[in-house]
Amino acid sequence: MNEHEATRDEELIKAHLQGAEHAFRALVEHHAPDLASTLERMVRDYHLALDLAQEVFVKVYRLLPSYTFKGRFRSMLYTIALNHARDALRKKRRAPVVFLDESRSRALPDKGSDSDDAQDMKRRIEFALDQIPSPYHEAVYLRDVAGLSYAEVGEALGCSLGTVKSRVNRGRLHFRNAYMAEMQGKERKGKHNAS
Amino acid sequence: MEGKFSDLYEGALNPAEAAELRAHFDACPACARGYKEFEEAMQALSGYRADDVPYTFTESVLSTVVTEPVRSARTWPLALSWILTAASILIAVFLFFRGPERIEIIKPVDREVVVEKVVEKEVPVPYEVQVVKEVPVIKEVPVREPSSVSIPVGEGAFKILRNGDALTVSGGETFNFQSDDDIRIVCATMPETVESIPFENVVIDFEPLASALMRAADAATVMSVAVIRTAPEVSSFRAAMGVEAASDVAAAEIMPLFTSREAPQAVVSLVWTPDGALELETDGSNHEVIPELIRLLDDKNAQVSAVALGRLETIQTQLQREHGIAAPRAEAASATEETDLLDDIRGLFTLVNEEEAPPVSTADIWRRWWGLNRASILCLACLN
Repeated sequence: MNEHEATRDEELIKAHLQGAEHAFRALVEHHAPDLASTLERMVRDYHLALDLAQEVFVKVYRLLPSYTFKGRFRSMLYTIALNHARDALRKKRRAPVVFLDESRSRALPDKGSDSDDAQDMKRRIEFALDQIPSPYHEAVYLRDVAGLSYAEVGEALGCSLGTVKSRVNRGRLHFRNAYMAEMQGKERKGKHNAS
Repeated sequence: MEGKFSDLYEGALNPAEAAELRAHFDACPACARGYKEFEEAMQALSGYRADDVPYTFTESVLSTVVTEPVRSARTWPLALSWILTAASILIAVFLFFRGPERIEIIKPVDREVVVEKVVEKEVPVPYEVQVVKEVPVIKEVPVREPSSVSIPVGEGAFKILRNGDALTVSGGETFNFQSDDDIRIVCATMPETVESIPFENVVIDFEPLASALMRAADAATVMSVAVIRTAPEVSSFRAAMGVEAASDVAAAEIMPLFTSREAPQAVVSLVWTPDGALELETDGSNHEVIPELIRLLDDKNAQVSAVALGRLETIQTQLQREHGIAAPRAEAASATEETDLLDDIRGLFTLVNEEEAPPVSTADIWRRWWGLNRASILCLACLN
């Protein structure tokens, strides 16, 4: 995520505080996909993730009048989101068990807007992301999908910079292993079909 | 080497470090391939964009907030502060003549002054200009009510994180806590009894020990965690081993020891703690893996000193006989009593008994009332 986007967020917030009707909608539409996806990674429940994302945006709406413009909006958004996700997990009263031998595929509506190859690649990447064990997958998702800086990831997760960097690197290594396994499986399938 | 892949990819290494790493790649095809695949995976990930949310999502959010106008900041005219001051004096006078006996029925509270920053925005001004006022707001914070729960005898021992601090509570003991404490039961010798413990007004969050240890310890130096869970077991024991050069032993090498076995397996967690110790937790059915693990670590030239604790005679005997590693309770190696296990667990953690919050006395109420109203009363006395 770049400075251009951070500036855009600030401009939308300022416009919203000035009463522009479109501004908050634009903020929601821009951040909702990544936010919902991150929440789904945490709570392992697509519909719950959407509910949580909605709660987060409602909370952000109420906090915007006191927003100080110190730090990026995205950082605040994900810090709130992670707190909501942790509360939701606590309420579920269930241990966040990691099953490394299970595949966790996402059940999302097929938008059909991308090409088949692009969709296939997206699903393979998502499958590889699902193979990253906790707590690394949170760190990777916040850093590489949500685009937070290392410092912002640390703030959202409540851990030190060294821990964040370690978790991100290890998560990325897990992702690499799973992604390459997926791609090698795809190659073998392609060769089999060709023969 | 893989520990530096992210730094190399993100350009965070200095030129000398980067050159050294690339020179290693030239000499080590396996590492070179590993980094090439890392780059390829990261480039794929950089192009990833999450699916859109359903089209109704944004409308749902907006319909929730659209009835809430953008709240402009409240302004606190100076006159209002004078009115509040006068009101507090009147209340003080009223209470003074009513006498202290009336105070007893007032719920004891703690008071704290919270400073709120209020953004004033009276007219549409260029948003670069914001006037921030600090308005003292008195908030009443209710006294935290202490609570306690007794762990029934025979229900095992629990490792609990209270507000992040680890402590152990065993059968027959009482655990004290405040109503707003963050309580997490992170480990239990008899996990199925967790839900039966009558905790009230606290949150029970039973999570794998590894996650709890990472949070409780200085996670900056935790190098690797592997959590494998297949079939849950009732009992558990813990083996703690001190390992030097733990960073050379990747979790990926250890995990196959557990996943390749045909026998039913249990929760296994491996955590490297800040002082380089490898803490392993598993259940009794996996005990035969421990010697293999030690052999693996030996092959990695890791200095291993094992301390096996738990009810299982087998693991302690094996460690003693085959590896010359003494268990701390060698004299009781054959004991399988629940009490022995609880003693072992107590030996691992410091048992902390929290003191209950002191009750609020009438004298305390008097002191607080005097402290709040002293200035007003003295002013009145001077005027008279």
